[in-house]
Amino acid sequence: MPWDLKSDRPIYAQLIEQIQLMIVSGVYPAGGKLPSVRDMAAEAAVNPNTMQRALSQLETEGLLFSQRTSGRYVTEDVEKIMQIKNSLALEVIHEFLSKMNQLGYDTQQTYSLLNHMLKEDEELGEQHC
Amino acid sequence: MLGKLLKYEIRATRRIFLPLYGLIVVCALLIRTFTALNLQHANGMASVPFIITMIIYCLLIAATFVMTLIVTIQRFNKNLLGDEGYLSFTLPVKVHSQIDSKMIVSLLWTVVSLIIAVGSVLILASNDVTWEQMSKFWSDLGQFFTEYGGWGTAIFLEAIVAMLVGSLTFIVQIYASVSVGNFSSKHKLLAAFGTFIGFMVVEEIISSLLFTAGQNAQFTQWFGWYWSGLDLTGKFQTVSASLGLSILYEAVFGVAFYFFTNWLLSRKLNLE
Amino acid sequence: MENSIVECRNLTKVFPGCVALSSVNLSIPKGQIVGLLGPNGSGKSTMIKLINGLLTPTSGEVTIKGMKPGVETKKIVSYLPERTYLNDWMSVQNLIDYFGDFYANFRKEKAYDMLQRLHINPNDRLKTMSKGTKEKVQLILVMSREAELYVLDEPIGGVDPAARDYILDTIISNYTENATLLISTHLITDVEKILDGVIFINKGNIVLTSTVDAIREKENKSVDTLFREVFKC
Repeated sequence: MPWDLKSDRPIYAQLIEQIQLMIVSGVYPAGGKLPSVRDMAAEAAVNPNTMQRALSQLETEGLLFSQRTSGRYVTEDVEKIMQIKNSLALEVIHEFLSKMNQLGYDTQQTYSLLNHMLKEDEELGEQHC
Repeated sequence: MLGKLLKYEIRATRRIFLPLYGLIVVCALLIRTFTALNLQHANGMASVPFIITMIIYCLLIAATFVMTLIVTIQRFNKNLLGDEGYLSFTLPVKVHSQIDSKMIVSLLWTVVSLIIAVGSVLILASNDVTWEQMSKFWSDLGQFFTEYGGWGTAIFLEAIVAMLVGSLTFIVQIYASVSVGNFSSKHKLLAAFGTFIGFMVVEEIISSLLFTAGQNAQFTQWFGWYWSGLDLTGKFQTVSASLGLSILYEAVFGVAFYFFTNWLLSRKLNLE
Repeated sequence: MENSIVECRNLTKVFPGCVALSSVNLSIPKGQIVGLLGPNGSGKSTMIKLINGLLTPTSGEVTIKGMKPGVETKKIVSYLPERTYLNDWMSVQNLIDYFGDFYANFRKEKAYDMLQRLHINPNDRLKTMSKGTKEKVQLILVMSREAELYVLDEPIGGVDPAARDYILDTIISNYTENATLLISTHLITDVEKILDGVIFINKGNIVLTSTVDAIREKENKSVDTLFREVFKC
């Protein structure tokens, strides 16, 4: 998964989001070991200090933990990961709804439009098979 | 660190001098072969190779001495004050070591060039007669030294030291001039040349002032009287002493140029 | 200050007919990657050359770890100039030996490793190389030192955009941990992701010092955008 960093927001905040995303999507599975700060920084083409800052922040949040000798790991607490996954999903939905709102759809209209689209997709799928 | 600087200084310059020396020796050997075949007296086309090799040989000898001068200037100018200076001056070595290494290697090539020139003449021209004359010269010289004790040897050694000190002073005078010339924003080498002439004029003025002072103090008259009263050993002693004095005099200028260059490069350095 | 590696106090450099730096006061903190950003002729190179002792200040002073530029500072500063400063008759291997001879903190294995990754033959002479390859060789030599301060003057100026990421990657993954990096450049977009802090310099004066994230947080714009605004013609 490539790192996608925008140029108008703090880099460390974006790094936090992207690492969260990698954890919930299973790129870094629960209990798995993370690469070294240096390697991760090089991969994202960012300053190692900034990467360090993002990782420490995630550690404080409990999503990562470090073992003094062997490095940094993703938490084994699957529930915690699911929590974050859910909150990320909610964020995406909120964003989507507010965009639909800008287009002039209220929540009810959005819901029916979405239903409609899903049904069409289903029918298209059947035709293909 | 001086040792390492010397190593790389020799590496940087030997690729110019060693081929030249090689060619000189080859030419000298060729000329000797041609002479042995008596080609120099041959008529018409047969003498052409001899003449051409002789011309090349003379050009090579001239080139060697011109190159010692050019390399002295260019190594200092390019390696310290040009783009390469960005590396030379960020090495963790003292500025005086940089000057020392360049000065010593320049002197080295001057001496080696001289030896090669003399040696090649021996290769191309020596025969039984010249060898005999030379060994006679050396034995006469040896006898001369034993007759007049240590003073003869002293004068001989002093003459060598005088040459070395003279060469070193000449080299650091070039360094000082090039360093001053570097302050000119446009015509650096021209300014360096002007500075060199300026230094010579200053040396000349100081020498003539001393000379006039000596004359005013009627030193020459006194010396003539003193000289005529000496026996042979005394005369040797006097020559040796005055040679020593002149070495010292030359060395004072050399030391002055050396410290001036060192001061410019360590306190006033401005690489563009 | 204890946490800074470079300190400038009233640092002034005057050339005939122009003031290159006018009474600059600045301290560069240890352990950071700092961008020295400014338009052409703003005084970036002058400052860098003063740090490396290639220029003598007109007045004021610059110190590295509390020392004026000299033999001791040259041991701990690794400097990449904006020009080719290597002679052209040595092979890369010779140059590696040269650096290894003079700098106690030079790591030959590291240099050979990087050469291999950038596909440069150690037996090649600089004479036969393109400008871009020469710059890569210089960067490799400079980054193979375990220095306390790396000073890189326009490290990506002469290479094509494709090679820039590669070079930045080489820089990030090879500098000694806890070392400080000072990078001067006018190609801000390419480097801003790797910077902790920035110094804006113009006409010999420091215009702004800040961290990259602070700029993004406060102004909601990239360093590059801010730079364009500050230095608008």
